[in-house]
Amino acid sequence: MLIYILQRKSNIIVDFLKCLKKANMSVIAPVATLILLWVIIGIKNPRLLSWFGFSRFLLTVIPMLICSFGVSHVIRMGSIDLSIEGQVSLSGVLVSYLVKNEMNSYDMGFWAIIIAILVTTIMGVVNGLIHTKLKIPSFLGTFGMGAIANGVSILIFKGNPIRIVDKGFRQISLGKFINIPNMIIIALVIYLILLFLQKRTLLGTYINAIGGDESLAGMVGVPVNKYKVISFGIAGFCYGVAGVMLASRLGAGMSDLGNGLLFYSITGVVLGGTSILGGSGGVTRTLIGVLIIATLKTGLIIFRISPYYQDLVTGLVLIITVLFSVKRGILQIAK
Amino acid sequence: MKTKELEIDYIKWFPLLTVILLTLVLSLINPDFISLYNIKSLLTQTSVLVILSCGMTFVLLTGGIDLSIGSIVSCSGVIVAVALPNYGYWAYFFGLLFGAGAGFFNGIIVAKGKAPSFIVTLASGGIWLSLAYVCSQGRPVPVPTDLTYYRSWIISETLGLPNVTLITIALIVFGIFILQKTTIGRYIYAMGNGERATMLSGVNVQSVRIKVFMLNGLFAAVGGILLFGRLASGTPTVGNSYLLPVITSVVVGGTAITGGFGGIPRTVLGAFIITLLNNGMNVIGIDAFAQQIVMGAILIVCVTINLDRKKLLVLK
Repeated sequence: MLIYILQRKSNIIVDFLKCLKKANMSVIAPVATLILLWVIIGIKNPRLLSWFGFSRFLLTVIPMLICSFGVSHVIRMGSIDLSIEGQVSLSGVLVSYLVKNEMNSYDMGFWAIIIAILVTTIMGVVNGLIHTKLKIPSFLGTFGMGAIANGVSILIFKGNPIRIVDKGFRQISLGKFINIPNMIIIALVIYLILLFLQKRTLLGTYINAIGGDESLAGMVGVPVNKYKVISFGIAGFCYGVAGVMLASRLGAGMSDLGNGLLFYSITGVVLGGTSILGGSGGVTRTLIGVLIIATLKTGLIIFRISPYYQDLVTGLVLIITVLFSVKRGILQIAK
Repeated sequence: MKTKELEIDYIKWFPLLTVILLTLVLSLINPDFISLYNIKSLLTQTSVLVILSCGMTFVLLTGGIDLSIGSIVSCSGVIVAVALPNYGYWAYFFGLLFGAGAGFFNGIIVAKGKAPSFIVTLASGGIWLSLAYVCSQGRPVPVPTDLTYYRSWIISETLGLPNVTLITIALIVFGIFILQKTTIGRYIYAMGNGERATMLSGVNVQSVRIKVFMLNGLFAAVGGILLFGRLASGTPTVGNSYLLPVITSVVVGGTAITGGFGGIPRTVLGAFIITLLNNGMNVIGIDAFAQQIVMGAILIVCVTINLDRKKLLVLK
């Protein structure tokens, strides 16, 4: 069984390398941008290029990265998920409420994590059902669900940060395994799983098909509704994981754990080359896109530009990328 | 045939009936509710929400959405606060100019760039928020007491009604006039009902789109200025909490997300429903934060009711 899985995973690596060889513009441009940015940063502050500096940098970015993995599934289908912040906050608050903390006598340890992630996965599925059964456009349905999730998390939170006492839980974000921080390992595992789903299963193919042309996919026999719901569910799962990580890192559960994630996650997905209209892209591109965003943020800090400009830069970058990804004739950065 | 007629009538009267019902229920719970003082303060309280919702109605009628109004509101307030000491009454003009400019920016990228409106306005919302932070250095910009004179027109009353209410009524009338009596109003409804058909009929869809977003920006700027007047300071975060109530107001009022149906009077009623619900929940003692849950749920329910399923060719 183990050998079977190893074989599968090595196939993926071979696929990955083949992809790079194809010299596809939509892959080259983001990667090139990333390398260029790191060169600039490296010149200004060489300490960041060390393993220590780089892993510190990665750590700040991982929750957002996992959220972006989740959202990329939804965006690849051509929909959008505006409930990221609410779900992440809900997961974080829920998990800190159920783990050993200073506020109440719950001490569920590992089960708290399972429950929190289960809750957000179910919320994701509900998002998908609202979209497919009630026929509400995804941006409105998820907007409403996000508000509900945020409201529930505020209710549990009641205004005081829930301080976590469970040391084992905090090890998720603070601990290392063979000298690699736990969070990076978790992110890597999720990345590989999602990559596997995307490249090797029917799920990945169908999601691409639905994004490319939904009515056509429906006519050909793709169970569109079912896979839309699954997509939103995967997204919910990712938000849950990210929420647990954020709560673990902060050591407390607060209802604004998710703040700012929506904007940066979506920007990360779009920057990586996944088209807003759906049909192309994937977790690898999202990975690169999120790294670009995080590098931009770090770069602004290193070059001592006021943090108030962060949103401005990110917004402009997002708009420019979207413009280029829609206008096909001019620059083929994305499909 | 008969059931269809009944359906339409039900939807048409729903907002008005709900407002009457809520008012009755609230006044039963608390008899002071109907007092003149309370009604006046209710009108003042709702005014910003009404104005913002009217602006958003234009955008939603064309089938788009504007996620940046919160940032436009905050930023125009900050601009007025910063410009007031040096430019006097011109500061208000700058605020309005910014609103129209922000709307223009939104409109032109959505129209010419053919980008989805929610992504563009999400991004531009971040840009305006950033601008607000930069102008205000992250802190609320207060108005010095010797300059309070400049704010007086916002907080004073004329003919027994708060000025704010008069401005709101003027904007409502203006909005109704545009939608029902002008050519561009017909075009807006047409675009919502079927954009491709409208374009093929020779209407310059892009220009209408830009103007719609500019209108929304203007209305949002007015809202921001009124908030500034009331709070006596320009705060970069003041508009953040308005996005959900505004969209819910428009949807509750009966304007369909698919565009083409609805209008300003319905939105005004929708805004009142939201405010009355908020008041009611406060009176009953529901947590202020739980109200977000209620609003999210109401949003989903009302969108479902008002959706015109015939127009849903491919749902994104």
